[in-house]
Amino acid sequence: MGEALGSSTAIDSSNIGFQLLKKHGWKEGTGLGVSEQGRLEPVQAYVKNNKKGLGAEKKRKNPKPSDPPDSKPKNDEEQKTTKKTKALSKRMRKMQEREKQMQEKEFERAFFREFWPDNV
Amino acid sequence: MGTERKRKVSLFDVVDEPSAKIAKSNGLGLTGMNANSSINKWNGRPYSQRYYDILEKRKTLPVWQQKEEFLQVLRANQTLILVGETGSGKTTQIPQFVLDAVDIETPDKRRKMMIACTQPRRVAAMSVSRRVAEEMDVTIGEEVGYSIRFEDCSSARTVLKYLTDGMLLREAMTDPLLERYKVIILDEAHERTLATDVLFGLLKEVLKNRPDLKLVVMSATLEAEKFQGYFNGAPLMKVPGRLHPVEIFYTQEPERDYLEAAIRTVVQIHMCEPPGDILVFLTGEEEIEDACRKITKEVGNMGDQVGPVKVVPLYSTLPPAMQQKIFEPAPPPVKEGGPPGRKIVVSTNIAETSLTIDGIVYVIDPGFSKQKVYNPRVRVESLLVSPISKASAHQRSGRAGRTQPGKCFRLYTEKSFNNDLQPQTYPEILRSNLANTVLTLKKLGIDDLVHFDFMDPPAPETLMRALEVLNYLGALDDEGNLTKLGEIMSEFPLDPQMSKMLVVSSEFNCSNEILSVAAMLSGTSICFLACFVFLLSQVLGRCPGAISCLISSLSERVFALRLVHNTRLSSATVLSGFHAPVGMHHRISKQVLMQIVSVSQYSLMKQMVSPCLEAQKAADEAKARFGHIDGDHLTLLNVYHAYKQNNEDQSWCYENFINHRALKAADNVRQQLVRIMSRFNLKLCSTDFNSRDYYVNIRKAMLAGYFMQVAHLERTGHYLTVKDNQVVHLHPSNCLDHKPEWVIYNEYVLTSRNFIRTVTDIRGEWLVDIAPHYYDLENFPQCEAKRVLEKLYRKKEKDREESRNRR
Repeated sequence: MGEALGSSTAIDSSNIGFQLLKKHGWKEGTGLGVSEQGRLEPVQAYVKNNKKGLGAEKKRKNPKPSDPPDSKPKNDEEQKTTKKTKALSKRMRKMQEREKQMQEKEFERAFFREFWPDNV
Repeated sequence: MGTERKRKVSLFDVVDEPSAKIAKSNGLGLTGMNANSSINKWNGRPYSQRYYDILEKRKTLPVWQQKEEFLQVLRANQTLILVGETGSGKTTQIPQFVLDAVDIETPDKRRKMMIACTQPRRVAAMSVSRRVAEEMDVTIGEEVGYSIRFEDCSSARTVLKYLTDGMLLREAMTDPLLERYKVIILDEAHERTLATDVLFGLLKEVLKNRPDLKLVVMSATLEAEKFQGYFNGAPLMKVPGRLHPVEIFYTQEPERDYLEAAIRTVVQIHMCEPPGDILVFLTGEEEIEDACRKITKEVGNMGDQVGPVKVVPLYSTLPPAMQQKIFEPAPPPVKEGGPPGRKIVVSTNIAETSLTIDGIVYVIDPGFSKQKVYNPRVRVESLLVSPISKASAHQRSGRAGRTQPGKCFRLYTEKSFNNDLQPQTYPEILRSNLANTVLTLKKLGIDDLVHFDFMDPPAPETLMRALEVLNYLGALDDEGNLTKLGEIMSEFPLDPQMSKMLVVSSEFNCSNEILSVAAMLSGTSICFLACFVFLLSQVLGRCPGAISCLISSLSERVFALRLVHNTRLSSATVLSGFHAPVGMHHRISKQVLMQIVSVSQYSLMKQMVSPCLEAQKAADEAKARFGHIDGDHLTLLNVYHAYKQNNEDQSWCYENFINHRALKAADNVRQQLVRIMSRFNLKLCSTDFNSRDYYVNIRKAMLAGYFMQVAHLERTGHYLTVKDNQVVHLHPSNCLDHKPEWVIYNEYVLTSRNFIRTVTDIRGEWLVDIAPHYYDLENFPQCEAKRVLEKLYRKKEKDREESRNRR
């Protein structure tokens, strides 16, 4: 269901909030509440950006879990190659970006001319 | 034992049938007490005819049948859980039953006793108390009153008070044992709002210390047994709702597009099913408006072979007058004997439990709702579309069976229902930022936060974040004890950041201005251009929602047009958003825009836009008048000042596209805040307006509160939030004329793109001056902002040395 919201690294022990909670009598690895029964992990949130119906997204996700053993090395390779291409094409990308910006500007101008003729 | 029995008798006498009968026969009773029954015992005036008319209707409510039983159980127990569907009359009747009973049992009339009934929503507290005042034939604000944040409509005479759960929590801060109350009723407990959950834990303690206090927990069917377990096996009473069987239909396959499926289902029902109104659950304003339009269009295309429809949207930000439309009846057939009309209500989950609409026979449930979420790891609280719970799905289907047997169409498979939906919605306390709650608990003297009796304890990290924030703000010391500053901060019914900003504002010599800013920020969205939006919707004959054309800056720069995405422009409303109603700002990528425009709808769009040009221009001028290039907070301040200078004139507001009601509310909030300030001897002061420091001081004071909500402009041209390193964009509604290197923001809006809304330019130097403890580089992730800060610290060090040498 959409992408998970934010990183999943827990707040570490150097954090002042962590230390304060310990000072309040909390022991690492336990939950809150009368009998320390509370949940340990925060509720995970997902960003849903489409109108797919309930259950419709799961189908695509299902094959994924079977992949991991294969996909991991792939990911590493991919990362390497993307790093290379990144370095190589930095200038190219900059140029492309500028071009794109120009295009956008031009478009905006054209658009504006159409709808707000009095203001130009 | 003997007194016990006597009491029982007295209770019977008054609250039960005999008295009612006498009341009906217009007080022909002879005994002392009954002789007065044509006289309202609350204000000593004779009852009006209206009172009797309403009384007749009240007696038909399901809860009246169990009045006697309820009072008996209440008398025998300290805590009672009452389960009743919406429409059973529990919210209006139970407090009155309790009031009558308590009145009889308290022979000493001089001692004041009060009954509180909490509501999760402000609107509910107001409207229900009005209704009850009418039922009791008294004036609202006297014997029956309400109290919500920034608005207290009660008096010394008040015996029954409806208040938001948050307000009761505030009252507990000054009255820890809630001694002014004899009975406390927590209504809509199934909603499990943050404040209700905290009240649960708190009241459990209070009940131990006050044997004379009674607690009634009222809930719709959800989780009733869980409540019972939590309240040490308190008795459970059920008020049967009037429910007819509801047939449930699932889809065979998951839907590719739930919105489209919902619309399709509506049309099918309208064509094939016998008469009966339809209720569709969708997630938000925009989606709802979109659906309403499409449904109207599709049904319109079918011509005379089907009956007419009335499509009504329902969501919380809709003006009350528009909300009332859901109670209008379905339209009559076009011709006599023609196919009957149908009402179609398209709603958010407000219609799930808190609102009863009669006549609904068909419910369409796509399985989603917008829910608040908070992740302490990224520190962002936001409203996101999420799958509902099984309990919600059950509630939704129940809406179909209120008047006759109904049907519920779930737009997902039965397997999805079983596997994809969690049993209960997470209570708000697990999905919220708890900084404010922790401050309140600390003020209430609850120091052992770890072992506080939460019904559902939040994750440790959520509490860590809250403690961290309060420590950085100086409200808690390094041992976690409430500081003097924290104590004052807790008195403000505001976020801790905002309270901090207020408390320190006198040190920056600008408390008058900061008060105005705070009031403007905390009023119900100061819809700058709400009137304008209204005007446009008049022009276009439809509610706002479809396309929002945002004007991003006030300067001479060409304003960019941004269209709401996911509309196909079938019929469009254009509005200018400066502070447009929540949820209306969406940006569309340029590509999509091009696509849409290049398609033949171009001319249609042009047609839509041109009639608004006049109004658009005028509104733009208005913005130019108030806009402050250094930030939206300052713009708000300008608006407030201009409003005051023009003597709060309504027509002036109208001419300037300012929402008069919102400003009036802000002004009221300001007065309340001033009162709190003076209670703590916080000086009210201003920097000379002509001084160069006038705005600088204001910005600095804001930073002193909001130093944890700062974003830095990276060389790549986008903003990263400080420390969390989240990519964010300035919200298009901002009125800056440049991209400042550092900004503070009031709100983080999470959508497909992350926006920061209401931003103000600040200087890096101030960060290291005002909040060095937070901008402590040893505790800082590697990023561009860190390098800039390093430079700033070095510079500061150098300056210091130089000044030392000079000496």
